[in-house]
Amino acid sequence: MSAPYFTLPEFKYVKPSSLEEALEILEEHGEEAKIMNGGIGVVAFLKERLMEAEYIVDIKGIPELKKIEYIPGKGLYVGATTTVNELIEFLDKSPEVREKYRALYEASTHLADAILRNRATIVGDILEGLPYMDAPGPALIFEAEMHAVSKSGERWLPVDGIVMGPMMTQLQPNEIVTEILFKEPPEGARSGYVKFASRTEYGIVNVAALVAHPNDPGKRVVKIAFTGATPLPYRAREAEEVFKKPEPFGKLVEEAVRVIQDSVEVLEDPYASADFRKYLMGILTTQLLVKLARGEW
Amino acid sequence: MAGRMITLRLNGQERRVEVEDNETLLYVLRYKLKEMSVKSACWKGECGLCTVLMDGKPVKSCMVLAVEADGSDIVTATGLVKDGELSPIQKAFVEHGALQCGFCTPAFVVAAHHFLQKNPNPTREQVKEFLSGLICRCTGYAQIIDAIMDAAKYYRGEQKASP
Ligand SMILES: Cc1cc2nc3c(=O)[nH]c(=O)nc-3n(C[C@H](O)[C@H](O)[C@H](O)COP(=O)(O)OP(=O)(O)OC[C@H]3O[C@@H](n4cnc5c(N)ncnc54)[C@H](O)[C@@H]3O)c2cc1C
Repeated sequence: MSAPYFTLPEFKYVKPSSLEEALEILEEHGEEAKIMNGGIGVVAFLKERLMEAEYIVDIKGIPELKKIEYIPGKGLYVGATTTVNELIEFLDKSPEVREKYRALYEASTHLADAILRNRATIVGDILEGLPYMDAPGPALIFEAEMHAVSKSGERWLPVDGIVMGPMMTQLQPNEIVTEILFKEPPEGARSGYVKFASRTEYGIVNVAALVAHPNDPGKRVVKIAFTGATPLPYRAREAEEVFKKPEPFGKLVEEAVRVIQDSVEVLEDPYASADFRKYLMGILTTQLLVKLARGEW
Repeated sequence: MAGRMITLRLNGQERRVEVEDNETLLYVLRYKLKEMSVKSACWKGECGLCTVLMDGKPVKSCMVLAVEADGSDIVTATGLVKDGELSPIQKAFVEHGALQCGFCTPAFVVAAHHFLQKNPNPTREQVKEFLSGLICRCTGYAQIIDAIMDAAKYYRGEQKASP
């Protein structure tokens, strides 16, 4: 059988049962070893021959990578191998936490499909690095950080800037992400997520946004992030700055949208033109921000 | 490449099979273990017709390596049949005419079986959302949703499985 997608290139599969053992393997084999989490991205890239590996290191046997914990004041810790469905189930059981992380919940329930979500992980979705991923937008507005460990140490890396392209990240080949922290949202914040997918399951524009105290310029906080529209996950910091001005919220939305449309580098592909994406970014951002400000989201 | 032996439970029976590290679970189930209810179509996680229950949860077996299934419990549509009798969800598909060519049916019934076990009181919307990862090109889904809504009563325990 040699038709495309039927086969995968050759590799050796290893499934370490401790973090120690996994780090040892990565240290020894460097670039030749690739981490497999839920494997949805890894298997797809291998099938397409867009990825090669001497060793595929399955991290699903490492017990401490599976966890979900909300610590008030700090935030929501999601283990690297925690699947998207496990996160959804956790949030369904904890409505207060779900409301705090509404954008993450909405993105998760729209990520791929209910069957793939039994394998797909939040961490893997972000690190896969394709433009249209659903998890990175919420990660940006909750200022998420990933905890990476290697034999020589550990560090927390902001998700903003971690992705450099498809299957390319700032992580070193000997590093494993153990968990991601979605930081505690500002007091009084509401967040939401809109995925616009016209002809495929992949969003051509995905907006994640967070709004706190819209009508109090002194305390107002607005955060906006996009995927699908831009080559890499994009936090619209310049547009967020606009909301520091004293004008009414509704007026500033208009200005912020213009800043986004004027400054952003937008994708152009067979699914949507750059112009259409910019148009959608304007409309979807306006609707989401206004609804969040009115408490309708 | 040297193969390795894996052991899995397929529809309640222990099976040992030699696999290569780079073979998918779909390939091994269908072409090595001859479990023909697992359909081979897109091979890229889109159509969902290779869906099986792995340790109780539906997965698209074309996106899982066979070695990952070592020691796991696999259930396919075949496994829902007990003593030669179709399960309630399978009967509901027949009663509602929820199939035409039948190619996607095994995937829909195992996935629906899992869904109704977890959620025996679904809305049509929830059923639709759950089915978004499964493609049927004949029915237009209406009868499939009807069948699942109807079969839900068995999962709520309102009706006994046998006729
Ligand atoms: C049909 C289909 C539809 C899809 N639709 C969507 C969609 O609508 N929205 C969406 O967002 N995605 C979608 N996807 C993509 C899918 O959700 C992702 O492939 C999946 O979430 C990736 O997570 P994973 O755990 O499978 O990662 P893997 O494939 O296992 O890994 C992805 C990458 O991350 C690295 N990695 C993973 N974990 C770690 C770690 N702990 N430490 C270091 N590196 C790590 C891997 O080495 C690899 O480079 C779709 C996929 C398919 C097949």
